Amino acid sequence: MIPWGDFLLHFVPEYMPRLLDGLRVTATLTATAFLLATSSGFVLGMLRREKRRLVATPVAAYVNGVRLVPLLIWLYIAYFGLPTIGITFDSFTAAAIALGFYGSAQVAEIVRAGFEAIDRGQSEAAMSIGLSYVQGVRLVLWPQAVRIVGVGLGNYLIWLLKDTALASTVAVFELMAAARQVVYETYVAFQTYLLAIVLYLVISVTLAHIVRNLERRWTRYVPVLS
Amino acid sequence: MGSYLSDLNQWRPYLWMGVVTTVTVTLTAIALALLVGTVIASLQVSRLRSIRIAARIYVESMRGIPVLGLLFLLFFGLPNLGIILSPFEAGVLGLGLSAGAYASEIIRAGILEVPRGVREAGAAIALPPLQVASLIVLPIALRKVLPPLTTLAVTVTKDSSMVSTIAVADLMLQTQNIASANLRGLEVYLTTAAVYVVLTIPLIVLGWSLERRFSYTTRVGALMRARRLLASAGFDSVRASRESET
Repeated sequence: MIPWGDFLLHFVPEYMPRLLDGLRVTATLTATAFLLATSSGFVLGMLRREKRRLVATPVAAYVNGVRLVPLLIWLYIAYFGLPTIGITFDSFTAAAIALGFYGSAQVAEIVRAGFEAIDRGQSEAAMSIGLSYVQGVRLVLWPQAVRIVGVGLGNYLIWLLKDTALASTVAVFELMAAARQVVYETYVAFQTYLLAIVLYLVISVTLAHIVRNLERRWTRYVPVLS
Repeated sequence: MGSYLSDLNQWRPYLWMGVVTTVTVTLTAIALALLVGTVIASLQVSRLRSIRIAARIYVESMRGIPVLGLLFLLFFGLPNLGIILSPFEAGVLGLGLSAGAYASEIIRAGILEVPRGVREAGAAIALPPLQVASLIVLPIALRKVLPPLTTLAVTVTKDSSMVSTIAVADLMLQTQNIASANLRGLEVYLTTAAVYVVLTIPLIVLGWSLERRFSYTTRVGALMRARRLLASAGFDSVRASRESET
């Protein structure tokens, strides 16, 4: 612990760039995992709505199975487990894959919830005017679901940002790892970790503020939510 | 496959020790989270604006930071201030403080669920405030609160794996030790994944059954019960209105 004056005047200017380097990796990892999770999660979410058992059961098992296992396990499997059967990734790729895999199940649930919030009559109406399944989803259901799904994805993004901190355990040099490195060199643990946490806090509060505004604007007329 | 089973037999005592620690950490953290959640929720519905804002700041900042960061701050950071916590204490404290913020949101929603009129009716028949809370507000609020709390308990169970990073010998840390001692990492981690699923399933089943029991009765059922209670306490107009309904 160093005096707060010294901390603010000398320590922060000297070590902040290091933390910001870490933050850059955090941002890249968050963005990569977000793209992986949303693209695969969207497909899974659509399959989850399927009524045929042959499709619905395995997808439900996947979605629930993945979500019940701690993210840390998936990270370890991707980075330490897969190499034992000959599949090796560098730490960033392994972390992105694990986060994306874990997130795909969460996004699938968000997508499913978005479509479930729409009145059944809408899809029946789409069918009865002769639209195909794809047309019905694209022209009738999706424009209504997109707002609910969008808010859900915004909240997921905030979760993901915080979850990337765990990537430090598989040697990704993101914000948490950068903070740890500074602590090893300076022994100033409390203030360094506090600084790192405040960085997370600033970003997630900003994102939460944006999501809340979108939510207010977008879901004002959604019956189940208002 | 035969060798997997014999290996599993070797790992079993270590995994079992890990499970015991994980369950202990999780249950203690949930207890702490309920305590923190109740206190913060009651502060959030306080009449004083400054208290409400302070509680709000607590919730927002806990929700905005990674649990891992909080664990590091408590375990590695606090010794700088002369406060030394054991790994177990730091782990439980971190998980509990974080989950407490989420619990407070759930509990607050439960408190707000109770219509003001019901509370006023309790006061009107001269029930002491403590009895208004325990006989009227709590039974109604619990129905709203319990199902989401089981979901939170599942999250805490999964998040408890993070305490392995501050040297609590939980299921996750035991698994890492086993995995680093042989070349069968994938099998060990998949085994542990299955163990975590087994640990969370009772909570999920509990959540489902609570949800099924409470969901359609939430409003009508709880109000009816509160009315019945008021009626039996001699509140005539309620009895009259109930009889006219039936």
